[in-house]
Amino acid sequence: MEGEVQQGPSVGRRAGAALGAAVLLGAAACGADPSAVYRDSAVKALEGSLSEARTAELAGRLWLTGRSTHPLAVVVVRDSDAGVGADTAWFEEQQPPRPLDDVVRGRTTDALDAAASAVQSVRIALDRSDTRATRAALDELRSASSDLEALAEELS
Amino acid sequence: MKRLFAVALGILTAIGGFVDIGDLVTNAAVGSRFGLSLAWVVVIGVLGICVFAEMSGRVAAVSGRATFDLIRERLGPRVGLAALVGSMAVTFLTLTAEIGGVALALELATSLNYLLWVPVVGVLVWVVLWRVRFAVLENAFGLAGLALIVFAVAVWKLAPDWGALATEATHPAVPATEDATTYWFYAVALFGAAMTPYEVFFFSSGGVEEKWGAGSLRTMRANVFIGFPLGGLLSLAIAAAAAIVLRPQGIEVASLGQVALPVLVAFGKVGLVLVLIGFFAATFGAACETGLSVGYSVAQYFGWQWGKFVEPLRAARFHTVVLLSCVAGVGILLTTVDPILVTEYSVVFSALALPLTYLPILVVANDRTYLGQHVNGAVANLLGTAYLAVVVVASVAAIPLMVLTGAGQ
Repeated sequence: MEGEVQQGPSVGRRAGAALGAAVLLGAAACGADPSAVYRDSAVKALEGSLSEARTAELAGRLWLTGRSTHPLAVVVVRDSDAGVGADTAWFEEQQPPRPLDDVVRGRTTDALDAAASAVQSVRIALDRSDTRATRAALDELRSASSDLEALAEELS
Repeated sequence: MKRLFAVALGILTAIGGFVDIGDLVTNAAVGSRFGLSLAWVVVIGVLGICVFAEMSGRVAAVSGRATFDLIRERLGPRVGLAALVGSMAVTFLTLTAEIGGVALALELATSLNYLLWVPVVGVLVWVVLWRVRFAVLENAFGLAGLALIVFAVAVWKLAPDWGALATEATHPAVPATEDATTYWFYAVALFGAAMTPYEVFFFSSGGVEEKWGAGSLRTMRANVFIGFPLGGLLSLAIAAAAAIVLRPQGIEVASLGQVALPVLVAFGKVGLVLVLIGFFAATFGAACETGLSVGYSVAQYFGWQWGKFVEPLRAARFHTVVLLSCVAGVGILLTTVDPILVTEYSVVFSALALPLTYLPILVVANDRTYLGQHVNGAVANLLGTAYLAVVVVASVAAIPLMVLTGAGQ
């Protein structure tokens, strides 16, 4: 069941990402600097994940402060989890054009993995209706979001 | 007094029924990425749907005949078939998106996976279309859709910088964080979301169902020129709420749950209840309208008995098309395709297919054989022609922009 839950949204993201990748490939074929195109892919994945991470953070905090119902918070965070996973998977499929770009790959993958892990922690804590664990996971997520934002700005 | 009540009810249902899954998702997505810098598109789209709906409503009221019946007769079977195929494909895609939207709304309320809700919603939509009277269907969901006014109240409660919002809306520019191609892609999507062809089929076929005559023109115009623009304000409120709460945090809307978050920030659980009622009513009402519209267009083109004003057994082929549409829509969603993706495609394809239905209506509305003294006047023709140009430009630009931007990614 859990697998199914994550399948829907990621299908949509992958379709859009595939179109986006085609555009990026087109740009590369038109003579754009391959490393710059790769950095753009990294920024795109980081910004997408940042959006999902901030969504999960907002939904979690609204539930903790009694401003949201549990079902809504669970669904929103579940979607965010699937979204971060799809962004990470999409970026991992991109080929770093030069050995120098492995640094970008490593840093981006680390930031995306940390965000994915933090969103998963929020989802698990929320599913269990565990307020203490949710609060702790949200703090972890805030830190991961800041890292995503900082890296996206640096690579832009 | 009775007439005033009828006009007021018509306006209220027009407002509540204006917003559907396409408006919800596209306006929130635009607000979260572009703020109110695309508000001008909503204004153009709403005026466009007013022009379009007024013409087709007038054609239905004066001639007493349905849109596709007249298109086939006036422009011939080939042009009629092209209009039918184009508009029916888009309306069916929209029906699929709306069924998915209802399932997503129920998922938000219960946390049960939306895929479990999809067959239930499909059956419910079909039962309502089979059993419930047209007036009840139109009024109940239209009035319940007014719950979405909570977005407008939330914007006020969030106390934004009104000056900044107004400046952004009145001085449109591509935000520094976005590129021009993506800006124009979303402009076309927003235009497609505001000017969906099914709204016009449903509106004009509903006129025939409710036996409008030339005497109904004033009521019809009040519904169109007051109800639709107020519905457009709801669309702007959804965009503004997203611009105020989500945009500063870098949240780009990609799910229905994200659309609701600004109202939760403003009002908490009370706001959530209203949002969920509004989501359900808007999407379920639109699912019924699109389901009927698919049946209307096919049955009217082939000259079959259609509508809910006759016993279902006497309009068996019409009801069969409606049933098959619901089954096919459910089948597509059960492949696990993302309903939000279907929604995004449906609004873009709406823009693409619009000339196929807009041009024939414009031609028929100028034909004295059908409309006598009620043919388009100078103002209607000026606006009608201007919008024809806008509709054609949006249609031509839709697919290239979608490919260039990776569907707005």
